[in-house]
Amino acid sequence: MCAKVQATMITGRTSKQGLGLVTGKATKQYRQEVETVELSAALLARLGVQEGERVEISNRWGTVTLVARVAELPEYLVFIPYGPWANVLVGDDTGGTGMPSYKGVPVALQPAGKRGGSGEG
Amino acid sequence: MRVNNVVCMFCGALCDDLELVVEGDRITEVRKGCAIGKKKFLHYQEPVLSPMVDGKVVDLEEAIQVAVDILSSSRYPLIYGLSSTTCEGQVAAVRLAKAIGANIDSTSSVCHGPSTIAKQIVGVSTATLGEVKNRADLVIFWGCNPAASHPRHFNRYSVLPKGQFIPGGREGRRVVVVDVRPTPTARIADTFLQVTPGGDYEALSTLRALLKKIPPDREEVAGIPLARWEELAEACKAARYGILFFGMGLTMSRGRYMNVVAALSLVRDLNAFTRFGAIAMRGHGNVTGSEQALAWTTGYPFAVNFSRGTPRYSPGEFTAVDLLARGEVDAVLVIASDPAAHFPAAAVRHLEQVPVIALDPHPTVTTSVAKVVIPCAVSGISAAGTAYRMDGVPLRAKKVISVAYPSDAEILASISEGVKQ
Repeated sequence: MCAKVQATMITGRTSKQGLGLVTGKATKQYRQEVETVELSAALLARLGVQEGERVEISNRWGTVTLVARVAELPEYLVFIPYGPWANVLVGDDTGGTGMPSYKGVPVALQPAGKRGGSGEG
Repeated sequence: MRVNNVVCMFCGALCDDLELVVEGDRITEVRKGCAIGKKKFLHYQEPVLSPMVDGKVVDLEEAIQVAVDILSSSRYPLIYGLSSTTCEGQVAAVRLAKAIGANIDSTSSVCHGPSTIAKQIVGVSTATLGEVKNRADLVIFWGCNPAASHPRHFNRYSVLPKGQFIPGGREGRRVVVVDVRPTPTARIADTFLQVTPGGDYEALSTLRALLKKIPPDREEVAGIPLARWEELAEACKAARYGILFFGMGLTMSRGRYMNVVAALSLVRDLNAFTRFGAIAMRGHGNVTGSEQALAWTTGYPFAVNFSRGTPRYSPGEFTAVDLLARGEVDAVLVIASDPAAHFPAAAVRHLEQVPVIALDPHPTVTTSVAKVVIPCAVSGISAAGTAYRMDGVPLRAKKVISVAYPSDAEILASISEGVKQ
């Protein structure tokens, strides 16, 4: 297993996540979408993980294991659709504004290996 | 029966040209909407939830009475959500907040609340989407991705339509996208500037400096060569009518409202050269209305507290994430929102420990943790009312079908009556 790789996480809307908001969060489509992490092919290669396999992502707030999806991103950036899994990695400090840091969050990645399961807080 | 000019309340673009085919109390066809809007009208036409207390089905009156009991005995309640309901529902929520001395906050605090703080500091050069369609020859999308969040924004307002002074449509506009990643929106851009995460404030300030002919002493800003920023600054000055659409790339990143302060200051500065406007890309259908309705009724747009009888405003103190993460509130009424799915885990943990009353037509993560679930009609489908578009234009959302449950506004009025007794 390779050492942990540091990256910056941003969260955001995707079309499928948006569809899940109007068709129900209990649907398989919504769950699959928000259990995904997008990252570059280069970062995936550094982790030694194939697309569709799980990646463990952690920071001081928690740890989740998500399914990897290749996207056109800089190697230092990972993207997670808005949802309960992304929120495990979002802290509660709002800097006196009410807004947590949903974007620009430092995270560490490593292959989830066979321990992969759904996310946990 | 065919119903035309229907407003879709999914996102802040509030498309008002949908055509519905209605048979009895069923919508059988939706024309002109985006994929998400069509799904919204066709799915969940009936509230699929039943009134529930502690997971057991009860009648509506009993659920409302339990909600009244919880809120009456609460010492520091929070009323939260509001962005997918009508202004009538929002005003009813404010009345209830006043009656019980509650905190009241909207989803604005986790979307464009920081933009509103920035507007209070800088002011904003406003524009309507009609002006953008008819006049804008330079369109900048900064930290936003309407291709995923506002699917018809390009077609109806900002990129493709032919306008009175933009007869060429797309050919008559230059589109610039600034983002940390090549989003689907970036693919339609004439110019894409991929900034480093956290580089927005520096980039916006650099543009302001360039307008004032004070170039920074470096070759690269936010990962982009200075020459490209110089070219953008000149393009902004040369535009006949420019518009800056900005999103949560600014509000959710480090700096938060200060990023928007820089953006609105840039737009203000540009008005010394040409007409330039700024519009926040508001997400939920009536989140703009939530700020309007709270401002009419309390004087403040979000993060309002009534515990001393008169409204007080304090983001960071009376905003929902802070109230929950600090474990301060002892009961929560959620209206038309799903904080359990969208708040940081630390805030959700407190939500799971206090009695939650959820008003929603659909099952959500929040209804699954709520002590009391009260189904309601769907705003803009089975309940009529006013909604504000992202540019501050109010539109009338129609009731196109009838359902067995009352609207948010009616349920909130019943709860208010109950707590007064």
